[in-house]
Amino acid sequence: MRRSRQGLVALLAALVVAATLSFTLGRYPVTTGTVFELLAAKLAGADSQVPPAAETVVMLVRLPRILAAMVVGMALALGGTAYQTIFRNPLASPSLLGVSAGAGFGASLALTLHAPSLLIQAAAFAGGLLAVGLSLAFNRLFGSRSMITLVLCGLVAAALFEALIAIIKYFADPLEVLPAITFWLMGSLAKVTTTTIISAAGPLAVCGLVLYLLRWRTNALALGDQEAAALGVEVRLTRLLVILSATFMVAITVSIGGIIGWVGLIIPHAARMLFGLDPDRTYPATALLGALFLLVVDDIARTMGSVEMPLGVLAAVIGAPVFLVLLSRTRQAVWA
Amino acid sequence: MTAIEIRHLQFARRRRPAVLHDVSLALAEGEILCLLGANGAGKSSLLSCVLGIESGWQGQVTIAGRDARSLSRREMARRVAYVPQDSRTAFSFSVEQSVMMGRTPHMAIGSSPGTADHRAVERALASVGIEGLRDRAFTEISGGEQQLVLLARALAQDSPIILLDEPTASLDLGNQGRVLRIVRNLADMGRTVLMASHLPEHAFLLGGRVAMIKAGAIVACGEPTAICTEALLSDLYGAPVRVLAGTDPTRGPIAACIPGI
Repeated sequence: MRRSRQGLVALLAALVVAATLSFTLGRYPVTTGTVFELLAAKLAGADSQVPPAAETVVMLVRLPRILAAMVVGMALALGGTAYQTIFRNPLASPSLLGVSAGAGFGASLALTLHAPSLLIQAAAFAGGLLAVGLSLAFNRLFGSRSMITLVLCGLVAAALFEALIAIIKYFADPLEVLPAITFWLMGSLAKVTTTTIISAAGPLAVCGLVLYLLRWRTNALALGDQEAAALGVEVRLTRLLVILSATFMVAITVSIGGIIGWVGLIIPHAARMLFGLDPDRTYPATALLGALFLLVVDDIARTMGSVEMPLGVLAAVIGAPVFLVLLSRTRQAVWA
Repeated sequence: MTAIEIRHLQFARRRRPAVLHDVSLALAEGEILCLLGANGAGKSSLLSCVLGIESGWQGQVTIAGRDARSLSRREMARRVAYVPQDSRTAFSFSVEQSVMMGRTPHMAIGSSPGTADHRAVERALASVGIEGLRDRAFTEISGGEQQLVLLARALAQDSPIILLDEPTASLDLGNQGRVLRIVRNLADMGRTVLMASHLPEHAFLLGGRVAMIKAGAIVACGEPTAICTEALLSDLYGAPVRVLAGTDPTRGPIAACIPGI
């Protein structure tokens, strides 16, 4: 118990250090001293002695990106934890009910129509919700109470929207639109602005809070519907709230940074392996690990070469070996 | 006072033939009632209806004076605990975590287990005698130990009424005895116990009443010595049953029931 609390503190410290160092990474050299000076001045509302070029780089380029990486990582990981628990399935990721495919379709459509970036974000968000809405509607249509049916409905919705994406790509202008779609589908935080982060922060915080408040009841759902109900959990209401919150979170992140897979699948597993199944530990650990992981991956994505690496791809490339090491070191099984 | 009163309960799952036809039963506070019946007779369904896990039943169920339909899931869980036949959890929770699940109805939304919750878990582990298993994974202990954990979880729930669904199925004789003794102690401490069982001899050991359920209807109800007869049991299970009566020096009349072949 005490050890895992220390672990959480260490994780938080690592995140703060990583975030600070991230400001210094990039082509324009900035020292940590400059970063602290700037941030302190901004917080105090005073003018700083830092050169304007450095200020622009830190405040307008790196700050939004660092915040975005942490927020998106956190949201994806928390969404994954919630999904895996309520679906009682280690393979569940937040895209299980089609949110990513739907968002990809929305964004692709908007890109084809040369929509402005705000509209692309909105289309991605709407597409994600549409896909999950369809999954839930199909499930309701069948009048099924089984989670397997819901998962299959999600599979159908995801397949449908994947197909629609393929059609759009097939007919898209190969010189301009197709690369944009492809790039978007692989995920990137290169175009994130402070405004985007600020407008996303509120809804994300609310959804995250709902998931956190329901953590013990969600945990009871891992025992199955009947037992959870006998333990006093309003099964359907809780599940719906969790699905909606997680879906909202993921739809928002997709509209910010495109499709970033792997984080929502693997970080929850990593958090449970390191911190166990007590939701008071699992949830904060998942959020912190998700933030740390995506921050580091994004740092690498933007500094590794002269051309940016796609974030979603890099997350898998880096995450796979890290996860394998973790898997080989974990002694106690987490899943039944 | 009546702890559970079931009046004219009828239940059918959607587009299926009725599972329960007009079941009426009453349990006084601190009473043990053993529900006997063949596989598929409706024992588990009856428990599920009382708990409100199944909806769509007709009739009336009263829990300690309150209409069961008017109770929220949480209010119900504070009054009635449920011990399932087995538990298929998705995660390998530790024994302690599994028992802590029983505290769910006592925890406000968003809050973590407090001192009272930890104390209740300790008490439950101790009264079942599984403190030593605390840190073991639920999925890695034996079936008998799992059953004891589920029982401890129900105890941690601190409810005046406990429903058990064949809690001794798949247990060896030693563990059967252990579970039955705990169930008896519960009743001695004033809790009301409704237990579905497939072994009539357990009814003798528990010393409560017996209700026989056949094809969704109660066919007999009374003291085990009075109704666990060869004729009634043979009729109940649709096959010849022999009853070998005996006497336990402390418990009084006991019986062994064996299938005739």
